[in-house]
Amino acid sequence: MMNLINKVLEENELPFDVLSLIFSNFTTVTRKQQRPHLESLFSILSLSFEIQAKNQLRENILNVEQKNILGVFQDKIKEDLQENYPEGFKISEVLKQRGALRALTWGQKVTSIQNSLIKRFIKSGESIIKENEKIHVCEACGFVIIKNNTPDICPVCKAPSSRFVSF
Amino acid sequence: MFAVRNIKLCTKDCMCLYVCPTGATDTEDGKIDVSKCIDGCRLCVDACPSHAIYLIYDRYPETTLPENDVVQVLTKLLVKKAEMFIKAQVISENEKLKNRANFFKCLGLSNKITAEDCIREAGCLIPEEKKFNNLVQSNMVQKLFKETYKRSDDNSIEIILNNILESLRLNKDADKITMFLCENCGYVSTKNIPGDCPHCASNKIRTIKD
Repeated sequence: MMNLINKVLEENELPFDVLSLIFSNFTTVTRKQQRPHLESLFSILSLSFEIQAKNQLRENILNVEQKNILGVFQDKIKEDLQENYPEGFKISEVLKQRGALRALTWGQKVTSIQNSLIKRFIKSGESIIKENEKIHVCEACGFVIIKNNTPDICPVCKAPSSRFVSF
Repeated sequence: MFAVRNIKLCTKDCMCLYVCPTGATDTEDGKIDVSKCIDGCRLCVDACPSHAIYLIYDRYPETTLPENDVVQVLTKLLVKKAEMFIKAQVISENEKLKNRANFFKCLGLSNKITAEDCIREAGCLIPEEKKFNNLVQSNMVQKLFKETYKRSDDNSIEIILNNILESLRLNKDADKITMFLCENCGYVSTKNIPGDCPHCASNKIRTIKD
Protein backbone atom coordinates (compact mmCIF):
# COMPACT_ATOMS: atom_id res chain seq x y z
CA MET A 1 0.00 0.00 0.00
CA MET A 2 2.88 2.39 0.74
CA ASN A 3 4.13 1.69 -2.78
CA LEU A 4 0.91 2.98 -4.26
CA ILE A 5 0.89 5.99 -1.99
CA ASN A 6 4.51 6.86 -2.72
CA LYS A 7 4.00 6.59 -6.45
CA VAL A 8 1.06 8.93 -6.49
CA LEU A 9 2.74 11.29 -4.03
CA GLU A 10 5.61 11.71 -6.47
CA GLU A 11 3.26 13.30 -8.95
CA ASN A 12 0.59 14.96 -6.87
CA GLU A 13 -0.57 14.41 -3.32
CA LEU A 14 -2.92 11.45 -3.18
CA PRO A 15 -6.00 13.08 -4.75
CA PHE A 16 -9.47 12.90 -3.19
CA ASP A 17 -10.82 10.70 -5.98
CA VAL A 18 -8.14 8.02 -5.54
CA LEU A 19 -8.54 8.02 -1.75
CA SER A 20 -12.29 7.70 -2.18
CA LEU A 21 -11.82 4.55 -4.26
CA ILE A 22 -9.20 3.02 -1.94
CA PHE A 23 -11.74 3.33 0.86
CA SER A 24 -14.72 2.25 -1.26
CA ASN A 25 -12.78 -0.90 -2.11
CA PHE A 26 -12.20 -1.55 1.59
CA THR A 27 -15.91 -0.93 2.19
CA THR A 28 -16.81 -3.64 -0.34
CA VAL A 29 -14.19 -6.04 1.04
CA THR A 30 -15.34 -5.68 4.65
CA ARG A 31 -18.96 -6.11 3.56
CA LYS A 32 -18.06 -9.44 1.95
CA GLN A 33 -16.08 -10.38 5.07
CA GLN A 34 -19.19 -9.74 7.17
CA ARG A 35 -17.50 -7.00 9.23
CA PRO A 36 -20.18 -4.28 9.32
CA HIS A 37 -18.33 -2.22 11.93
CA LEU A 38 -15.29 -1.73 9.69
CA GLU A 39 -17.58 -1.39 6.67
CA SER A 40 -19.30 1.67 8.14
CA LEU A 41 -15.98 3.28 9.07
CA PHE A 42 -14.47 2.83 5.61
CA SER A 43 -17.73 3.88 4.02
CA ILE A 44 -17.92 7.28 5.70
CA LEU A 45 -14.33 8.08 4.74
CA SER A 46 -14.97 7.02 1.15
CA LEU A 47 -18.14 9.09 0.88
CA SER A 48 -16.47 12.15 2.37
CA PHE A 49 -13.59 11.99 -0.08
CA GLU A 50 -16.00 11.46 -2.97
CA ILE A 51 -18.02 14.54 -1.97
CA GLN A 52 -14.83 16.59 -1.60
CA ALA A 53 -13.57 15.38 -4.99
CA LYS A 54 -16.81 16.41 -6.68
CA ASN A 55 -16.81 19.81 -4.98
CA GLN A 56 -13.20 20.40 -5.97
CA LEU A 57 -14.08 19.58 -9.58
CA ARG A 58 -17.09 21.89 -9.57
CA GLU A 59 -14.89 24.73 -8.31
CA ASN A 60 -12.36 24.24 -11.07
CA ILE A 61 -14.76 23.75 -13.93
CA LEU A 62 -17.52 26.29 -13.55
CA ASN A 63 -19.35 25.32 -16.66
CA VAL A 64 -18.90 21.59 -17.08
CA GLU A 65 -19.27 21.37 -20.83
CA GLN A 66 -20.27 17.91 -21.82
CA LYS A 67 -18.82 17.90 -25.28
CA ASN A 68 -15.40 19.02 -24.07
CA ILE A 69 -15.47 16.50 -21.24
CA LEU A 70 -16.16 13.64 -23.65
CA GLY A 71 -13.24 14.79 -25.77
CA VAL A 72 -11.06 14.82 -22.65
CA PHE A 73 -12.22 11.29 -21.80
CA GLN A 74 -11.34 10.14 -25.28
CA ASP A 75 -7.85 11.60 -24.96
CA LYS A 76 -7.24 9.86 -21.63
CA ILE A 77 -8.57 6.57 -22.97
CA LYS A 78 -6.43 6.88 -26.08
CA GLU A 79 -3.33 7.38 -23.96
CA ASP A 80 -4.20 4.33 -21.86
CA LEU A 81 -4.94 2.10 -24.85
CA GLN A 82 -1.88 3.18 -26.84
CA GLU A 83 0.70 3.51 -24.09
CA ASN A 84 -0.18 2.45 -20.57
CA TYR A 85 -1.92 -0.85 -21.26
CA PRO A 86 0.78 -2.13 -23.66
CA GLU A 87 3.42 -1.07 -21.13
CA GLY A 88 1.49 -2.81 -18.38
CA PHE A 89 1.25 -6.06 -20.33
CA LYS A 90 4.96 -6.06 -21.09
CA ILE A 91 5.99 -5.44 -17.48
CA SER A 92 3.51 -7.93 -16.02
CA GLU A 93 4.57 -10.67 -18.42
CA VAL A 94 8.27 -10.11 -17.75
CA LEU A 95 7.72 -10.06 -13.98
CA LYS A 96 5.14 -12.87 -14.13
CA GLN A 97 2.47 -10.95 -12.20
CA ARG A 98 -0.64 -12.84 -13.25
CA GLY A 99 -3.02 -10.90 -11.01
CA ALA A 100 -1.98 -7.63 -12.61
CA LEU A 101 -2.22 -9.32 -16.02
CA ARG A 102 -5.83 -10.22 -15.28
CA ALA A 103 -6.71 -6.68 -14.20
CA LEU A 104 -5.03 -5.31 -17.34
CA THR A 105 -6.77 -7.82 -19.63
CA TRP A 106 -10.22 -7.01 -18.30
CA GLY A 107 -9.42 -3.30 -17.97
CA GLN A 108 -8.19 -2.93 -21.54
CA LYS A 109 -11.29 -4.59 -22.98
CA VAL A 110 -13.61 -2.48 -20.84
CA THR A 111 -11.71 0.70 -21.73
CA SER A 112 -12.07 -0.09 -25.45
CA ILE A 113 -15.78 -0.57 -24.98
CA GLN A 114 -16.06 2.73 -23.10
CA ASN A 115 -14.26 4.32 -26.04
CA SER A 116 -16.71 3.05 -28.63
CA LEU A 117 -19.69 4.00 -26.45
CA ILE A 118 -18.36 7.55 -26.11
CA LYS A 119 -17.83 7.73 -29.87
CA ARG A 120 -21.43 6.63 -30.51
CA PHE A 121 -22.75 9.06 -27.89
CA ILE A 122 -20.85 11.99 -29.38
CA LYS A 123 -22.37 11.13 -32.74
CA SER A 124 -25.96 10.25 -31.80
CA GLY A 125 -26.52 11.33 -28.20
CA GLU A 126 -29.08 9.58 -26.02
CA SER A 127 -30.71 7.91 -29.06
CA ILE A 128 -28.13 5.13 -28.69
CA ILE A 129 -30.46 3.92 -25.93
CA LYS A 130 -33.55 2.61 -27.70
CA GLU A 131 -37.10 2.42 -26.37
CA ASN A 132 -36.97 -0.81 -24.35
CA GLU A 133 -33.29 -0.70 -23.64
CA LYS A 134 -31.28 -0.12 -20.49
CA ILE A 135 -27.61 0.35 -19.73
CA HIS A 136 -26.10 -2.66 -17.94
CA VAL A 137 -22.81 -2.56 -16.04
CA CYS A 138 -20.94 -5.64 -14.83
CA GLU A 139 -20.01 -5.01 -11.20
CA ALA A 140 -17.08 -7.42 -11.40
CA CYS A 141 -15.17 -5.86 -14.30
CA GLY A 142 -16.95 -2.68 -15.43
CA PHE A 143 -18.18 -3.97 -18.80
CA VAL A 144 -20.96 -1.76 -20.18
CA ILE A 145 -23.65 -2.73 -22.69
CA ILE A 146 -26.90 -1.21 -23.92
CA LYS A 147 -29.65 -3.71 -24.59
CA ASN A 148 -33.11 -4.75 -23.42
CA ASN A 149 -32.19 -7.50 -20.96
CA THR A 150 -29.17 -8.20 -18.77
CA PRO A 151 -26.62 -10.40 -20.54
CA ASP A 152 -26.58 -14.03 -19.40
CA ILE A 153 -22.83 -13.88 -18.98
CA CYS A 154 -20.32 -11.03 -19.07
CA PRO A 155 -18.23 -11.36 -22.24
CA VAL A 156 -15.19 -9.86 -20.53
CA CYS A 157 -15.00 -11.58 -17.14
CA LYS A 158 -17.65 -14.34 -17.50
CA ALA A 159 -19.60 -13.23 -14.44
CA PRO A 160 -23.25 -14.37 -14.41
CA SER A 161 -26.18 -11.99 -15.05
CA SER A 162 -26.71 -11.61 -11.28
CA ARG A 163 -23.55 -9.49 -11.15
CA PHE A 164 -24.98 -6.83 -13.47
CA VAL A 165 -26.65 -3.60 -12.42
CA SER A 166 -29.04 -1.89 -14.81
CA PHE A 167 -30.05 1.73 -15.30
CA MET B 1 -14.80 -19.11 11.12
CA PHE B 2 -18.56 -19.15 10.79
CA ALA B 3 -21.10 -20.26 8.22
CA VAL B 4 -23.10 -17.94 5.98
CA ARG B 5 -25.99 -18.87 3.71
CA ASN B 6 -26.20 -17.52 0.17
CA ILE B 7 -29.97 -17.22 -0.01
CA LYS B 8 -29.92 -16.97 -3.83
CA LEU B 9 -28.57 -20.53 -4.05
CA CYS B 10 -30.64 -21.99 -1.21
CA THR B 11 -33.18 -24.53 -2.49
CA LYS B 12 -34.75 -25.20 0.95
CA ASP B 13 -33.71 -28.82 1.08
CA CYS B 14 -32.94 -28.20 4.77
CA MET B 15 -30.13 -30.71 5.11
CA CYS B 16 -28.30 -27.97 7.07
CA LEU B 17 -31.07 -28.10 9.66
CA TYR B 18 -30.60 -31.86 10.11
CA VAL B 19 -26.82 -31.71 10.65
CA CYS B 20 -26.31 -28.54 12.73
CA PRO B 21 -25.40 -29.48 16.35
CA THR B 22 -26.66 -26.14 17.77
CA GLY B 23 -29.60 -25.21 15.56
CA ALA B 24 -27.71 -22.19 14.23
CA THR B 25 -28.95 -22.76 10.67
CA ASP B 26 -32.62 -22.74 11.65
CA THR B 27 -33.75 -19.12 11.80
CA GLU B 28 -36.78 -17.12 10.71
CA ASP B 29 -34.84 -14.69 8.51
CA GLY B 30 -32.63 -17.07 6.55
CA LYS B 31 -29.43 -15.79 8.22
CA ILE B 32 -27.39 -18.37 10.11
CA ASP B 33 -27.06 -17.44 13.80
CA VAL B 34 -23.37 -16.60 14.21
CA SER B 35 -23.55 -16.72 18.01
CA LYS B 36 -24.51 -20.41 17.84
CA CYS B 37 -22.24 -21.40 14.96
CA ILE B 38 -19.35 -23.63 16.09
CA ASP B 39 -15.96 -22.46 14.82
CA GLY B 40 -14.73 -24.79 12.09
CA CYS B 41 -17.62 -27.26 12.34
CA ARG B 42 -18.63 -26.95 8.63
CA LEU B 43 -21.17 -29.79 8.74
CA CYS B 44 -23.79 -27.61 7.04
CA VAL B 45 -21.36 -26.53 4.32
CA ASP B 46 -20.69 -30.13 3.37
CA ALA B 47 -24.29 -31.26 3.78
CA CYS B 48 -25.92 -28.72 1.50
CA PRO B 49 -26.83 -30.30 -1.86
CA SER B 50 -26.90 -26.87 -3.54
CA HIS B 51 -23.61 -25.60 -2.05
CA ALA B 52 -25.46 -22.59 -0.70
CA ILE B 53 -23.45 -22.24 2.51
CA TYR B 54 -19.90 -20.93 2.75
CA LEU B 55 -17.46 -20.07 5.52
CA ILE B 56 -16.29 -16.61 6.61
CA TYR B 57 -12.77 -16.73 7.95
CA ASP B 58 -11.45 -14.77 10.96
CA ARG B 59 -7.91 -14.58 9.74
CA TYR B 60 -6.49 -13.77 6.36
CA PRO B 61 -2.90 -14.29 5.17
CA GLU B 62 -0.71 -11.24 4.58
CA THR B 63 -0.95 -10.21 0.95
CA THR B 64 2.24 -10.05 -1.05
CA LEU B 65 3.17 -6.68 -2.48
CA PRO B 66 3.45 -6.64 -6.26
CA GLU B 67 6.63 -5.50 -8.00
CA ASN B 68 7.34 -1.76 -8.07
CA ASP B 69 7.15 -1.40 -11.85
CA VAL B 70 3.76 -3.08 -11.92
CA VAL B 71 2.48 -0.76 -9.20
CA GLN B 72 3.72 2.22 -11.16
CA VAL B 73 1.89 1.37 -14.38
CA LEU B 74 -1.29 0.35 -12.55
CA THR B 75 -1.17 3.67 -10.70
CA LYS B 76 -0.93 5.59 -13.99
CA LEU B 77 -4.08 3.82 -15.13
CA LEU B 78 -6.10 4.10 -11.93
CA VAL B 79 -5.41 7.80 -11.39
CA LYS B 80 -7.00 8.59 -14.77
CA LYS B 81 -9.93 6.29 -14.16
CA ALA B 82 -10.57 7.80 -10.72
CA GLU B 83 -10.63 11.22 -12.34
CA MET B 84 -13.06 10.09 -15.05
CA PHE B 85 -15.27 8.48 -12.40
CA ILE B 86 -15.73 11.77 -10.54
CA LYS B 87 -16.13 13.85 -13.71
CA ALA B 88 -18.78 11.54 -15.11
CA GLN B 89 -20.62 11.53 -11.77
CA VAL B 90 -20.72 15.32 -11.61
CA ILE B 91 -22.05 15.57 -15.19
CA SER B 92 -24.64 12.90 -14.49
CA GLU B 93 -25.90 14.77 -11.42
CA ASN B 94 -26.32 17.95 -13.45
CA GLU B 95 -28.00 16.23 -16.37
CA LYS B 96 -31.77 16.59 -16.57
CA LEU B 97 -32.50 14.06 -19.32
CA LYS B 98 -32.73 10.62 -17.76
CA ASN B 99 -30.99 8.65 -20.52
CA ARG B 100 -28.11 11.10 -20.70
CA ALA B 101 -27.77 11.10 -16.92
CA ASN B 102 -27.68 7.30 -16.93
CA PHE B 103 -25.08 7.23 -19.68
CA PHE B 104 -22.65 9.33 -17.67
CA LYS B 105 -23.53 7.50 -14.46
CA CYS B 106 -22.64 4.16 -16.09
CA LEU B 107 -19.49 5.56 -17.65
CA GLY B 108 -18.48 6.74 -14.18
CA LEU B 109 -19.37 3.41 -12.58
CA SER B 110 -17.37 1.49 -15.17
CA ASN B 111 -14.32 3.63 -14.43
CA LYS B 112 -14.83 3.21 -10.70
CA ILE B 113 -14.84 -0.57 -11.05
CA THR B 114 -11.75 -0.74 -13.28
CA ALA B 115 -9.93 1.72 -10.99
CA GLU B 116 -10.77 -0.36 -7.90
CA ASP B 117 -9.47 -3.46 -9.68
CA CYS B 118 -6.16 -1.70 -10.36
CA ILE B 119 -6.04 -0.55 -6.73
CA ARG B 120 -6.41 -4.15 -5.52
CA GLU B 121 -3.69 -5.41 -7.82
CA ALA B 122 -1.41 -2.52 -6.83
CA GLY B 123 -1.33 -3.75 -3.24
CA CYS B 124 -4.59 -2.71 -1.55
CA LEU B 125 -6.46 -6.01 -1.79
CA ILE B 126 -7.84 -6.14 1.76
CA PRO B 127 -7.39 -3.80 4.73
CA GLU B 128 -4.40 -4.94 6.80
CA GLU B 129 -3.11 -3.57 10.07
CA LYS B 130 0.51 -3.00 9.08
CA LYS B 131 -0.26 -1.41 5.74
CA PHE B 132 -3.10 0.70 7.06
CA ASN B 133 -0.81 1.87 9.86
CA ASN B 134 1.60 3.12 7.19
CA LEU B 135 -1.18 5.16 5.64
CA VAL B 136 -2.06 6.68 9.01
CA GLN B 137 1.60 7.30 9.90
CA SER B 138 2.05 9.13 6.63
CA ASN B 139 -0.44 11.65 8.04
CA MET B 140 -1.95 11.85 4.58
CA VAL B 141 -5.51 11.32 5.66
CA GLN B 142 -5.42 13.65 8.67
CA LYS B 143 -3.68 16.32 6.65
CA LEU B 144 -6.28 16.21 3.91
CA PHE B 145 -9.11 16.62 6.33
CA LYS B 146 -7.36 19.38 8.29
CA GLU B 147 -6.51 21.22 5.08
CA THR B 148 -10.09 21.16 3.98
CA TYR B 149 -11.72 21.97 7.26
CA LYS B 150 -9.02 23.82 9.20
CA ARG B 151 -10.65 22.87 12.47
CA SER B 152 -8.34 21.85 15.28
CA ASP B 153 -11.13 21.39 17.80
CA ASP B 154 -12.57 18.24 16.27
CA ASN B 155 -10.38 15.12 16.34
CA SER B 156 -13.05 12.87 14.81
CA ILE B 157 -10.79 11.70 11.98
CA GLU B 158 -8.16 10.55 14.50
CA ILE B 159 -10.88 8.72 16.40
CA ILE B 160 -12.12 6.96 13.28
CA LEU B 161 -8.64 6.01 12.04
CA ASN B 162 -7.60 4.68 15.44
CA ASN B 163 -10.81 2.70 15.67
CA ILE B 164 -10.05 1.11 12.28
CA LEU B 165 -6.47 0.33 13.37
CA GLU B 166 -7.61 -1.22 16.63
CA SER B 167 -10.25 -3.32 14.89
CA LEU B 168 -7.64 -4.60 12.43
CA ARG B 169 -5.06 -5.23 15.15
CA LEU B 170 -7.41 -7.07 17.51
CA ASN B 171 -9.21 -8.74 14.60
CA LYS B 172 -12.40 -7.82 16.40
CA ASP B 173 -14.68 -4.77 16.40
CA ALA B 174 -13.39 -1.83 18.45
CA ASP B 175 -15.89 0.48 20.23
CA LYS B 176 -19.02 1.27 18.26
CA ILE B 177 -19.20 4.90 17.15
CA THR B 178 -21.98 6.94 15.60
CA MET B 179 -20.75 9.18 12.82
CA PHE B 180 -22.17 12.20 11.02
CA LEU B 181 -21.51 13.13 7.41
CA CYS B 182 -22.39 16.39 5.71
CA GLU B 183 -23.58 15.40 2.25
CA ASN B 184 -22.84 18.86 0.94
CA CYS B 185 -19.18 19.35 1.85
CA GLY B 186 -18.09 15.94 3.18
CA TYR B 187 -17.46 17.12 6.76
CA VAL B 188 -17.12 14.10 9.05
CA SER B 189 -17.69 14.09 12.80
CA THR B 190 -18.11 11.66 15.66
CA LYS B 191 -19.64 14.47 17.72
CA ASN B 192 -23.35 15.03 17.34
CA ILE B 193 -24.06 17.89 14.95
CA PRO B 194 -27.09 19.56 16.56
CA GLY B 195 -28.09 21.82 13.68
CA ASP B 196 -26.40 22.70 10.45
CA CYS B 197 -22.94 21.68 9.27
CA PRO B 198 -20.27 23.64 11.18
CA HIS B 199 -18.24 23.91 8.02
CA CYS B 200 -20.69 24.81 5.27
CA ALA B 201 -23.98 25.43 7.15
CA SER B 202 -25.87 22.88 5.05
CA ASN B 203 -28.66 20.90 6.70
CA LYS B 204 -27.95 17.73 4.73
CA ILE B 205 -26.43 15.79 7.62
CA ARG B 206 -26.47 11.98 7.41
CA THR B 207 -26.15 9.88 10.53
CA ILE B 208 -24.16 6.66 10.10
CA LYS B 209 -24.81 4.27 12.96
CA ASP B 210 -22.57 1.30 13.45
